[in-house]
Amino acid sequence: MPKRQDVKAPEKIDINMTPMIDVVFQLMAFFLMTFKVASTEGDFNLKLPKAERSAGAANTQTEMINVVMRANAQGDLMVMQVDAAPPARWSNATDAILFSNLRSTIDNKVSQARDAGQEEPEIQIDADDNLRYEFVIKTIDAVSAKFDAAGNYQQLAKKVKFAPK
Amino acid sequence: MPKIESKMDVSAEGDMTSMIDMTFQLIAFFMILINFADAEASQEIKLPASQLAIPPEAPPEDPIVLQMDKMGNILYSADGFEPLAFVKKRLIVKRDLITKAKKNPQTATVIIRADKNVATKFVRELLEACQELGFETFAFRAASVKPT
Repeated sequence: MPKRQDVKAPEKIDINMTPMIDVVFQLMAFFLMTFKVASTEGDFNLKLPKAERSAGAANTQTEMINVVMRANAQGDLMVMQVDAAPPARWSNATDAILFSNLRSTIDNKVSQARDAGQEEPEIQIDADDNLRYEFVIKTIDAVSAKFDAAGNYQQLAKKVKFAPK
Repeated sequence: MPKIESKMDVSAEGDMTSMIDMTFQLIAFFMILINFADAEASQEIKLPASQLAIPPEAPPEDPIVLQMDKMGNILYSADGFEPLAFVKKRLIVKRDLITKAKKNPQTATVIIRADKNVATKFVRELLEACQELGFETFAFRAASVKPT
């Protein structure tokens, strides 16, 4: 006959949770302090080869639209001129109107080229040295894409470059 | 004489399980949201805003992030903001490293995070310096704003 085993009541094992909670709170503090509501950043991707290489590869049939921007002493945009056929020049207008005009002008030129089956025009940005950079970005924004009436993203000019100085 | 009943000591331990559960949930939340790439971005730079700047779907293969403050100084290394002449030397080293890895500098993407108030001249000079070194793929970074 087998020997009767003593049945013991299971012992409650208390795990010391204090160090774990300490570490968890340290982690919480770290993440809370490093947390930053991320502002989304976007890119305008441009292929800008060196001037002589692009000049060598330039297609003579490609229309070049020169966007000239003149600034005042504070670096604010005062005059915008588009050397296209027909040329356009705007001044004494708010930035919103200037860039809206620029976008519709480029939109028309790109649409005409696409409809005629021609190569799309190339945009050259000729900005004053002291012009604030935000106007350059606004120009790239205006010439490179638009939202149509339905709110869809539509690409305009694919080739954008800076005028050599 | 009335008998005084002696009670056993009651343990005051609370149940920590729910608190720890919630704390782990919070940690998981912050771990998922943390973005070390954003932490590298200089907070001194106020990016120009744009509705049409596209957030990159995937990081470029060989990104070179050049951050320019409103004075035209450039942040590229841990040494802080430096004039273009110093950064150009570092870019030469970077270009050589890319070439030694049997890659073409043209495949590297130069990401320019420039302050919205910097004079265009400084950005153009930086651009030309990069082009001289053989870089030709550029990403001009802007703060995405929702269309109104």
